[in-house]
Amino acid sequence: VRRIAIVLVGLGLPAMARADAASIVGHGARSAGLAQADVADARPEAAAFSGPTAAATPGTRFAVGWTRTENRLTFAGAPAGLAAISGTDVDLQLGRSLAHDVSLGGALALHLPDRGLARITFRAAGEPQFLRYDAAAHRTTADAVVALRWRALSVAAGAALGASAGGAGVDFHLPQDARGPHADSAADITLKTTLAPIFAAAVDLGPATLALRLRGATSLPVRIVADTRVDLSQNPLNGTTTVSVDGSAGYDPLTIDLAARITLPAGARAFASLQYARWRDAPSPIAAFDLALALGITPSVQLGGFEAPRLHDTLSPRLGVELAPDEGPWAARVGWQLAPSPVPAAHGFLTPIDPTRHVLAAGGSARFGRLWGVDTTLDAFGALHLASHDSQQKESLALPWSRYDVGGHLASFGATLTGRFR
Amino acid sequence: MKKLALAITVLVAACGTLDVPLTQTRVDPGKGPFRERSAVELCLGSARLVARQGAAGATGVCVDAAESARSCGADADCAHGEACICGRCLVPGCTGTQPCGDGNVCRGDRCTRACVADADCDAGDRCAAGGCAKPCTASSECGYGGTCDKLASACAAITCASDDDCGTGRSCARVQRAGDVHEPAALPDGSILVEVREGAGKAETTSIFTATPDGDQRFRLVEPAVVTNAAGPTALATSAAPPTIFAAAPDGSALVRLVGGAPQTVLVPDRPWEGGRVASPSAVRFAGSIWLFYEVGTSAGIGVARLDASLAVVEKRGPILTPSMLESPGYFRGVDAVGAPDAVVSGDVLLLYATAHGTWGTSAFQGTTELPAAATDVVVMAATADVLRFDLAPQNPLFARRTNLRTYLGTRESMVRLSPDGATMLFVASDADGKLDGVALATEPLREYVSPDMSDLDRELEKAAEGYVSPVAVPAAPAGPKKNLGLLVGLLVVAGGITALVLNFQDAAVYAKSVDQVAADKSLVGRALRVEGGLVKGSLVHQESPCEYRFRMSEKGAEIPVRYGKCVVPDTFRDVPGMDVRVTVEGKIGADGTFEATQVMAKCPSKYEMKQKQSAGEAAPHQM
Repeated sequence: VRRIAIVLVGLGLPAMARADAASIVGHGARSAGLAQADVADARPEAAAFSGPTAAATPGTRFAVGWTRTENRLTFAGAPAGLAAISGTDVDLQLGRSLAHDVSLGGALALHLPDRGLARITFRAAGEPQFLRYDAAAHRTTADAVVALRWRALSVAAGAALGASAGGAGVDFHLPQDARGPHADSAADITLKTTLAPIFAAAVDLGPATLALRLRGATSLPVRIVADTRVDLSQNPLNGTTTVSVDGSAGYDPLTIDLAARITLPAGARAFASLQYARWRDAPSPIAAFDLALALGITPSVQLGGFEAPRLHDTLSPRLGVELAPDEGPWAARVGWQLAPSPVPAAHGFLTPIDPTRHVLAAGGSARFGRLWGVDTTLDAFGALHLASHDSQQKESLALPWSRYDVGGHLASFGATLTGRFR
Repeated sequence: MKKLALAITVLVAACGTLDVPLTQTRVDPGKGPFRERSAVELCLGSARLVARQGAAGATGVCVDAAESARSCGADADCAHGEACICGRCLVPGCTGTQPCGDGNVCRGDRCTRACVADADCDAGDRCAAGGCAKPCTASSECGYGGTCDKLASACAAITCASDDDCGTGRSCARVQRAGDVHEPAALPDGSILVEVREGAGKAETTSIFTATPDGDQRFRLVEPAVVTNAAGPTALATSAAPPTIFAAAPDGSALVRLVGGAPQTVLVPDRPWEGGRVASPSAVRFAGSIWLFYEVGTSAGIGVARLDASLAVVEKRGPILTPSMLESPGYFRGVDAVGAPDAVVSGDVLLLYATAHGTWGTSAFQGTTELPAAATDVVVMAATADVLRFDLAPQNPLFARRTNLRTYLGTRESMVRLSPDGATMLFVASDADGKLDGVALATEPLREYVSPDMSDLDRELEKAAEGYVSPVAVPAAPAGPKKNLGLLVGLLVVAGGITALVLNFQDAAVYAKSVDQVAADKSLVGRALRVEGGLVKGSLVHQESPCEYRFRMSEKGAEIPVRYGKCVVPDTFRDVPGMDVRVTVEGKIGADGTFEATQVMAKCPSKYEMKQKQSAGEAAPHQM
């Protein structure tokens, strides 16, 4: 019942959407300490995000962790002014042996940002657009997977959930007299549902494990429709105004990871993964608008859209090494990741920003044995994200941000407490 | 214990607040967008400078000579019925039908709020003859400059031109002075230079004043004038104060510098492209040289001269900006004038602002009658790094104003100051007929983020957490087969939850599909879809009554018919020969293969792309 309750709580949480917080930092201290190279051999409790096939590992596990990433990126010679990304990770995993060489499991991974549940923002077209560090990095997320293991082969499927926070729409009405000094007005805000698939497969060859993971693209579509009716005496502009705003706040691309884990002597393991991210489908980070007016005197319908940022796909290699003697009381790990920028040279009115980063990570864990009947492990990590210095000049000096440079760094740290029920 | 720890963890995570913006708002100063903020009050002595065309009325009000006005910063600092005029609280006098500003009328020789009923007035006031009147029994109840009209038992004012008009014990407090203000120019200390034209006909005088700031929206002109018989001032900062001031001869025969108040000729119109007239200089130090930008001809363009250290002209370049250069079909049309340059240095880039006259915006409609957009004065901008190549801002006109959705107001003679938080712009405002209103202020707005109210979401999460911490008995760990049963139930819940979410999302989700996918996949019938494709040329037809649009969309060789049963479509949605129009429709596809659209969005090339296409000789599908 407890486990069911936990799962239900997880599934019942609102405003779920895949987010970049885990994509930037990693989900859980172990994965972050390996610079997210652990796809082929993730911790079972973090399976839903880090390595879905690990969800089939027999056992019941629960983890709570907290991470924080201080943002010290610079833009145009000054601090970029980006807030720290911090939040709590909650992981659940249940797996059981159904028969010899067959096991089945499920896992849920939640990220709950410290600042709220969902961040929805559209910045003005003339402002720099920090594609990864504004909206998406501050959203609640939930990944759920089920996995089946048969002998050396494991497969998993699930979904990254992005659910509406307001059902069909959140309505606001200003019930005023249209013939009085104010206008009647109503607004309907719709946060559409998104659902991205997760698929994974792994082959455990003993000394090595090979894995493949696919995660669909997500963002948080938002539609705002505002209707205003004006009916004032002697007013030539009486009539109705409808303003529609459509856009997608924050974007996580489709990713495909090809990963491997190799067992080394003396309890050491090496991890490698290569992540392909399909950024080319990213929508414009600026909402389109549609202004429909039906007034006594009215301009023709106005409509505006902004060109897509034309991002290019990226390949991100990750490497990690973990020293973890079997059943030993401690473990240590290091990792490296190249996180290439998908942003091409800015040429137009928009200024998308996302520098290429080198991530250097290190971490460790300590096992405390059984506490209150639960095998308890504490993991911690620290990582430094070094942004490459990038100078840009647009074709026209009259465009906003015609000349700028980007650089700086990010610093992440965090810890995860894991419990395994026996 | 563990349950409590989990619950606390979840609740702590859920109770976060969006107390600070997550990303700073940034503007690249001087490149817009600009937003009009307020009128700027220019005071000469105790009187407010008002445009000559709007000044046909009272120049003063009679006040009690024994009293003095209270000082103020804004109208809110004054008593009921008074206004803050050049720092003094006074009853705003007026005469006849003199305009009193938005929502106000002239009644009883004072400006008061327009009304149709007592309810439109402040408590205690009554509505009389279309204006709010304050009942009174004595003049002391009517504010400084007010008087109690015994016949009407309501506050009024007595306007005057001199003390002789006011009688014994009263004096005439001057409240306005007629003068047109032009071409504000920045001085290094925060003051400005302005050109003031007073009088009429042969008695007209043109003078340059220094004006010092008094608050955010008021400048006080310093008498006496810096110089008379000169126009269009500009200041060049020097290492030793005061700055060098350049100006133009009122007849356009020369640009001069003021030396000890006396003009010395710097530049005369001796090139054909100068059209025999030069005006409105703007001086700036940039890239190691001194540059003097100026208007040539009668707003025929802008030239630039490089000066040496002795401020002698060593080189002329021009015209660097002409009306035809600004012409942008679809966006800024019929440009027939450009002038009044204002050069500002932003790092290693020089931003050149200018006033242009042309048509922007779209036509309005009154019923089915088209009301074309009117030509008006606007501010445009170009940028250069070497004073050789100038990049026109694709967002031109950089700053323009409109009112009542179609009447375009004049915006001219800008003066821009840059700061890291965005630029401020003083400009000369005029109404739709070109009549001067005065000087106004515009700024680049730093947007304020409004944190969404997360309380509903917080409550939902709290409910979820409450469900978890509800007093559910925690069973002892089951053994043997029960474990597998629990596992299966748990997995079924996970799978069921995902399935339920997927199924529930079917209705809420809008599937984005291409035309060929919709045409090929019959399973999409009845589902909410967003379909993108190209408009099939020649397929767009329109029916007036009942309103309906029909057209066809195509993609990868597949086509679908679309029906849109509304009266209005975006003006970008036009079938233009030679231009591909991308269309996005939302709605559902029926069993007969016809897409019933509830929304139509036409996507044309962006403004930036449009210009590129136009430069390549391609057609423009719409106007923005």
